[in-house]
Amino acid sequence: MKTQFVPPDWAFEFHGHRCPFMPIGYRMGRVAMSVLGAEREQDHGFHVFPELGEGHPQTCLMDGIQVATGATYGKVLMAKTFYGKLAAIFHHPTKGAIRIALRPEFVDAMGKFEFFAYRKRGIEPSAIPAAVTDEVIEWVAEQPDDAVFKVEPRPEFRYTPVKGSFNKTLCSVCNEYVFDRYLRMKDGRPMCIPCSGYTGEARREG
Amino acid sequence: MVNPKDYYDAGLLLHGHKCPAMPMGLRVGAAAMNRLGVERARDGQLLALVELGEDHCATCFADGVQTITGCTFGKGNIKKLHFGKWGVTLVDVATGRAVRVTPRAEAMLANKQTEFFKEYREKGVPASEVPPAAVEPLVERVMAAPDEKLVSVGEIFPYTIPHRPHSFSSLVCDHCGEMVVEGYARLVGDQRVCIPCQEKLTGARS
Repeated sequence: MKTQFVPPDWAFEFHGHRCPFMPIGYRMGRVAMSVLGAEREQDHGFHVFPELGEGHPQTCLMDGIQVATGATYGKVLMAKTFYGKLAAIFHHPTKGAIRIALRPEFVDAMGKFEFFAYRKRGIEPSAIPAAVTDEVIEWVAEQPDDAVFKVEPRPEFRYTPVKGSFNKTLCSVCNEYVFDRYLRMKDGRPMCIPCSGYTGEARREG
Repeated sequence: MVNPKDYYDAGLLLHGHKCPAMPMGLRVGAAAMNRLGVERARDGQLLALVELGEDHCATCFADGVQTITGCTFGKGNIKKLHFGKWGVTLVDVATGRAVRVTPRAEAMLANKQTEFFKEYREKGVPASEVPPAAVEPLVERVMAAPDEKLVSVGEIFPYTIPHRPHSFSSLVCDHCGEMVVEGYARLVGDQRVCIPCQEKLTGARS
C-alpha cells in the first residue's frame, strides 16, 4: 500500500533537502484536510498548532504541513506549542479541529534506517547519499496511514485569536511611539524593544 | 546571483494568494543573499532574523523570505524579532557574516496607498478575493522595481549568537502581587503586570 499523499516536487525545493519528515508533515496535513473536509487555505482561516519545540529533530515536518495546508508561517497560521511532541492540532474555522500524532511504533521502526545513523553523526540531510535518503522516504510512503498516524477529533478545541489594539506609548529612551503590546519595562521605565535590549524570548510563544 | 523572479511561482504556490508582501520578501531575501554572495540554504546554512510581529499587516512577507532563502519554519532557521518591522538580517552561519536588508519606507507606503489595501484588504476582503486587476500591477511593481528603489542594503557585519546574561531584575505584578522577571513584565495603563494578568485585563498578550 502506498500513500496517495506524496508531496509535489516544489515542496522538496521549498524545503531545501530530501528527508523523510517533510513528506510525513505533508501527509499529516493532507490527512487532516481529508478528515475535516477542508480545502488548502488561500487566506487566513485555517490554523495549525504543531506540538514541536526547538532543538530536537523532526521539526522539518512543519514545512510539509505548510505546503499541504496553506497554513503558512508568513500568514501567521502556524504556531508551535513547544511541547516537544510529534503531533499537531489542525483547526479549521468551520470544519472543526483534529489532532494527529505520529505513532511511537512507527517512529521507532523508522529510526532503524541508515538515514538516522548519518543524522546522529551530525551530517546534514543535503549531504546524505541519495540512496540512503530515498530508502527511508520510500519505506515511509509504503506504510498505511493507520500505522503512521493517530487521528483524534478535538470537538472541544477552541481557538481565540489575539485581539488587536490601537493603544501606544512613547518610549522613554528614543521618544518614539510603540504599540503597547510591544512595550517593555527596563529600570522601571517603559521602552521599545530595541531600546530595552530585550528581544523575542520575553514573548510567550504559541 | 539569485534572481527573485525564479522563485515567484514557488512562493505563490506556498503562500496561496497574490499580494505585494510575499514578493517583497522575495526581493529583500534575494538582496541579502546577493550582498553576502550565498546560496539558498538547503539545511541550516543560513539564518534569517525577521523583524515582524504576529498581529499586523504584511506578515506574508515571511513566506517570501522562506521561499527564497531556504530559511524555513520547519528547519527552524527563520526567527521573528517581534519589532513590528520588515527588516531582515541574514546570517551565513559558517562564517558569521551577516547583512540587514529592509524594504524602503517609500516602497512600503506606495504599496499601502493602493486600491488593493484601501478598497479591499482594509475593508476585510480576503486577498484571494481581490480582483486580479487590483493586485497584479502591485505584484508586478514589486517584482520589477530596481533594488535601489525598493530595498536598503546594509554593510556586512560579523554576527555572533547573542548570549544574554540571566536577568536578576524583577518586580511585583501590580495585579496579582506575584513576582515577575522585569523583561517579562508588561504595562497596562499605569500598572506593571505579568503576562497572564495582561491577558486577563486586556484580552491581548504580547
